[in-house]
Amino acid sequence: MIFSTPTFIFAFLPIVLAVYYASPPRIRNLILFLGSLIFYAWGEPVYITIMLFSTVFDYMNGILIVKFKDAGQIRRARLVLINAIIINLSILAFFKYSNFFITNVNHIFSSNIGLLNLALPIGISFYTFQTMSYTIDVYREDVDAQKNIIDFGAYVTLFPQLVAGPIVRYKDIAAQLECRKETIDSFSYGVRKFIIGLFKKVMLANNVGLLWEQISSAPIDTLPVLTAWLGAIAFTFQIYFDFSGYSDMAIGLGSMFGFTFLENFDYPYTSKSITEFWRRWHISLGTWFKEYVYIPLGGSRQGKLKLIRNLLIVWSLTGFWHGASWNFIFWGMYFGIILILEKTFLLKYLEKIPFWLRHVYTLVLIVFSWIIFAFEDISKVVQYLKTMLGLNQSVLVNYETTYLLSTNWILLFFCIASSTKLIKFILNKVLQSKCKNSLILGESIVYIFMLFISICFLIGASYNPFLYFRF
Amino acid sequence: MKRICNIGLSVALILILAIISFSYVLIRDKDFSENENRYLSQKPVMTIENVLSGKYTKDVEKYIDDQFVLRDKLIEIKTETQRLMGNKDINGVYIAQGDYLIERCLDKDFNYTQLNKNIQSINAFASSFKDKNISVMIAPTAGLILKDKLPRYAPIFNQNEAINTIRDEVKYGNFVDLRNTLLAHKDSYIYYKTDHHWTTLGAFYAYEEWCHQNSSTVNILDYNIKTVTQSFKGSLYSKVLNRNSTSDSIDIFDEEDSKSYSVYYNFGKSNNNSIYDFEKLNRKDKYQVFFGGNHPEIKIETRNKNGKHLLVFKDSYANAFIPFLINDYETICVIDLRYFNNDLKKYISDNNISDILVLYNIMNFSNDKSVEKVSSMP
Repeated sequence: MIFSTPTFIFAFLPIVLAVYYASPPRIRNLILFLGSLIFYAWGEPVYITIMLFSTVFDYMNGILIVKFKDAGQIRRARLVLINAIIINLSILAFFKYSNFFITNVNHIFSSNIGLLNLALPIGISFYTFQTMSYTIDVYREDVDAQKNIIDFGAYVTLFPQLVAGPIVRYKDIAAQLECRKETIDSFSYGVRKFIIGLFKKVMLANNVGLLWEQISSAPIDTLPVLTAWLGAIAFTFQIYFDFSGYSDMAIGLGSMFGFTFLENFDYPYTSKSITEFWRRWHISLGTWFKEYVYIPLGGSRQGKLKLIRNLLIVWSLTGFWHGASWNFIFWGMYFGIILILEKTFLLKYLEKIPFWLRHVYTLVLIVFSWIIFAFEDISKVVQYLKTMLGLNQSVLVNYETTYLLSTNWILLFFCIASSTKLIKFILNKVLQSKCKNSLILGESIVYIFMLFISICFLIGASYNPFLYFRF
Repeated sequence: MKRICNIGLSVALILILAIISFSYVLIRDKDFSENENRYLSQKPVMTIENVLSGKYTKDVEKYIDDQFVLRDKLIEIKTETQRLMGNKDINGVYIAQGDYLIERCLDKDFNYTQLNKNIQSINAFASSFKDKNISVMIAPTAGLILKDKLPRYAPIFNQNEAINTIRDEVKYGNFVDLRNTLLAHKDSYIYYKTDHHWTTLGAFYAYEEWCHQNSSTVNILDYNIKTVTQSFKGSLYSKVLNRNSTSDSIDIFDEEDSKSYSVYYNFGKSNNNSIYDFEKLNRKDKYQVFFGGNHPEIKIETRNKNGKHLLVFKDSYANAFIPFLINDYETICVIDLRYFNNDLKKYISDNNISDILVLYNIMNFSNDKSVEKVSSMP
């Protein structure tokens, strides 16, 4: 199921909320677990078995690790951990990356192994990473093993973050599984966050995505330079509002059930360096890779060479996590290389140049990176980048550029404003002013309005005239 | 105050969720959408196969999407918001000046391959019927003729090149170029504002050009123009649902001294004595007042026994044009190639066809695969 659908918002969510709050607190985790299973099975009636396997498997692993450690059998505990990691990664590799591996093997060895063409189980990249973080943290003794399989199941399958993150580490919500307080304040915070997320996804991401779709579906070598830039900027906004919108909805939903999840995006496009960007973008993924790959490899503590090696490994893997295709790996390595440059010397120089220049430097690198991300076909990536740099003998601008700009500038303005702290700043100023009360009321009305308009656009997506148009 | 607002917001959300989710239970489901011209999804039945294959959940989602309360109203608000945000094209339709809606077709959308195939097919067909009087009339749409009304700088496929290609490639046959006459009258009401078809007036100017090519004349004053409806909102309106859209009016050109005729539909399965189906004026797609829409085959027999029997291959643009031809031929046979699968050669000889007209608008003609049928039949 997807959050931004009428089915989720008006069928699933009301029912789950009603059953949840009508139940005594003791069985609320069970309600969440069952609801999440339905949520997942809704889109994946068959692959739910994999997620259930992952859940039971890592539940047992957690208990085994603690048992062995308590009995002093560290080596056995370690074996359990290694086995858990291998099995989890194998499941992920099999379902997500088998075609990729087979294609590349065929390429290198001119063989003809048939592709498996497996459908990708929804959320597998997220829940395998979550359960792995659990077993590793149990082994590291950062957290106790969860003895109640319902509670553990609720953690793994929790529908707010199951499908698109944030990647919630078990230790961050272990206490909340046991006891959390659902209050009006947490509920209304959740409502606000959910509405913002829905608005970002439906009003901003989807609409600016139309602009990107228009531009990117035309033959790339005919695009004027400015149109190519407009498209890249559109995609830059689309992917941000889509992903952060979804994360906002996840955090909001969690809050409606009394959970506090960590923020996943912190105004990444206000960054003044790529280092800063990756502390603000998809924070839960960066944290995961830092905790479980970068630091175990030695991080920055074993000299410059190891730092470079570690960064390259981590960033190739980060890229690869995003998709089973070479362009994603290149995207990750692109950032890896920039981060190496920044960490080794560039940051010091950046601090000396003016604010706005650092900002431009960062944004330009980000916009280019999204083009690498946008096309799985590397030749298209190259073509598009060449067009942006004016290397493709294209014109600078044409009438269509003007048309696209003139019909989208309001949307783009909203996108820019929403990706900065401008609105937050204005709100804070307002909350300190004299007409505080009426403005707080106004703010709530704005939320209702945002919800309403998002619903209109949501319904519009299903509008499907079947007209004898071509006849 | 913050506390009150928190409570208020929470309650508001719960109320909204509750009201809308209950609406599915309390309000009766709609079965047909006039605007979308399709049947709306109904409550799906749950079976084990359905659930396991994932079909049941998809059907539930479609049901919830389709039966959302006040669906069309919400979409109107969406369109209004898009217009306020400066959008000039919605769902593939340009919102042009003068309340005109114009179909948006871009260069990449135009199917030159199919166009060339169709031209070859017509040529191959015509070469085996050289003794007949063949005309090819491919009409431009508003996208070309009313280009000046489009939003500034709006990209649109240039139909001129495509029509030039047809003009240059058609052998054996008379290509009737309607561009000049339609352009000359572009400030008149020759295309509907909410529909992709030409008006009866536009079809009249096409007929005037046709007569000119066939060395005869016609005068608009010979006709008694009757407006049969003023509340037509057509296919383009359906795609956009703009709230303050105008309505189109549909006219019928009655000839002063028109004689009676008989119309036989679908190889004689039904018949009546009028090419107009006025019942269709009570439905949404009022353009179907012409012939009641599209049929596989229509035969019109007139009292003008002049030995000329016409065959028309067509799309729906012809529906407004054919009424003008009635007094010029003894018989008019109309074939919609999408539905016609009989022996074309036999049909032509059985009906003593002497003249053939290929009448489409340029966009359909370049997309319609069924045109190839004319040359694939022996």
